[in-house]
Amino acid sequence: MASTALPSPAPTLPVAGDPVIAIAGLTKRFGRLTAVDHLDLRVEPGEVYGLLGPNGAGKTTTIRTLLGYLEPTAGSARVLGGSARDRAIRRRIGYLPGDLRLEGRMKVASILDFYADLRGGVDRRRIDGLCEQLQLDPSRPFGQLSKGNRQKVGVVQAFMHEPDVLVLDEPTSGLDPLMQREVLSLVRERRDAGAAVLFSSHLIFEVEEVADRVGILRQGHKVVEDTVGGLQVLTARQSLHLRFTEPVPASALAGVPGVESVQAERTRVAVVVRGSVAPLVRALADLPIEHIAADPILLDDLFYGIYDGQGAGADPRPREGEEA
Amino acid sequence: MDGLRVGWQVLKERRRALLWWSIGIALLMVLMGAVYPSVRDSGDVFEEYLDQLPEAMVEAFGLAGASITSPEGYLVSQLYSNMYVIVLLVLGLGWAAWAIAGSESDGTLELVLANPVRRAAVALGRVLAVAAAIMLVNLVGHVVLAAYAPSVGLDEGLPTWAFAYAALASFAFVAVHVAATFAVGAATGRKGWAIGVGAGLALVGFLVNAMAGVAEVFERFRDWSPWYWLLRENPVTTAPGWVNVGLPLAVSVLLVVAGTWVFHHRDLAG
Repeated sequence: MASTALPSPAPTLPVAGDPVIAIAGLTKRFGRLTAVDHLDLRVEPGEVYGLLGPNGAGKTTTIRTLLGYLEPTAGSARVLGGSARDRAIRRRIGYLPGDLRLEGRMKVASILDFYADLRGGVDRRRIDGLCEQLQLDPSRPFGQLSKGNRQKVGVVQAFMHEPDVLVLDEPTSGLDPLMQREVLSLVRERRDAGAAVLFSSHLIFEVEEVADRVGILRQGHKVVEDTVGGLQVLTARQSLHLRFTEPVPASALAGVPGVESVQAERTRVAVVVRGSVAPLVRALADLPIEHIAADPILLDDLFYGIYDGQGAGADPRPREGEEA
Repeated sequence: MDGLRVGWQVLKERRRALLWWSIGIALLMVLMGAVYPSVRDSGDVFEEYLDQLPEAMVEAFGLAGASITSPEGYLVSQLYSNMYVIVLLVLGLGWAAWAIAGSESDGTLELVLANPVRRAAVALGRVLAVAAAIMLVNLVGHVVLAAYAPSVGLDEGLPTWAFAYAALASFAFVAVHVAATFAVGAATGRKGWAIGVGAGLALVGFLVNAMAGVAEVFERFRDWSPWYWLLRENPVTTAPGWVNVGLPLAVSVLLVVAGTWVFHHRDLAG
């Protein structure tokens, strides 16, 4: 039925400078809830844009509107100069949903073949290569896979047709650190080939690692947008857990430059450091240190940074009934 | 083409279920056929029993004047006015509610729609898959019945194509309910509503048709009941016509088109 032939999409990427993803004044309301509020966002070709935000910030709503699953209440969300409802445009998009669900009874290979067919055929070697790179066994039924392996199926189908636009909603969720790296390197590969990537995450370190620019959403508003270099100022607060072979008093570390707070409990000490950890490491060298562990920087900590330091003007109090 | 691909994928995904449904329906037919000789031979007892029943119950059997000991009376009262079409309804309504609404809420629809395929193609492809599944199981049932019937005399006095007539009428009857279920699911994204409307239509239609002989209030609505369309004339002896095949199929097409149109224009649930 849907067999009317479309002109095949131009194989060239858009000219540099034309945003591939152009979200302007986007507002999406669900009844009384405003999930996204006057959002402006652009992603250029050859750029990875990291969309950060806690759960319920509006990341997924933004992405679902961009893909044409939702109609904007106001404003627009354009991809490659048009709407993702247009099949010719969707042909050039790779999408990985945040919560990947596929038919469990089917083998991975059969699922991937189906998606490849819907895309008008994909080079078999490309699919096999991706499966190999991600250590995914395509002969197993999807339903029997672990969460991480399921996510890999999503990654393969998003990347297999070498799309010009990648929309990735928490792409590394459920993956072990090694596979996380593989996925991030796939993202970089596409970026280097000129693709525009919108990458949502609630993990700062992975966005830092792969994104060129970062936007932070909170309650549907963009509270900060910066290059990754600019953002690092905000993230330079680290939380370290130290373990010593014998009890160490908090006072031993309290005066070290950069150390903001120390909580000591016999041999265990938790430290928050702003800026470089070098002075702390030097001080530790003279103490009976046994083990150092660092917390991943949490978005909440980042918000402290934004609200304390920058005063972005947004209301930091959580609103009730907030939803993605 | 994309729609057909999507539909074919559904049949592939559910091929095991289809196998079991086919085996089940084949067993049902064999069982029904095996019982027939004893019903026929005890003849008068059944007739007397039926005479004692309230008219509404007899009406609900869909005998429409035929004797229960005759092949056409036996088949309509034991299969087409209840068990057989209800089994097909269970299969059809479940699949139809899943086609859009179910797969939307279980999250499997989203990724399909990320591909360059129209929403309408996905909807129509899936509804075609449901229709094909019902037709397949229906066909298996009737082929088994047609093959088994002569050995128990269940084909005596029936038209040559009796089982094909009945298969078509059964399909058309189930199609209306499937289409209503699909349409509500596609339009709202709610699987519960879809099943509710499909099953409600079947139940209300059944009651209206069964009670029409007793209460005038039901009589007035009987023309709207798909059960009446199916059973007004014996589906085994009546060639496919406007009322038992054309009308239900036309209504089905309208419902599918309407549901697909709304689906094409609405927000997806997330």
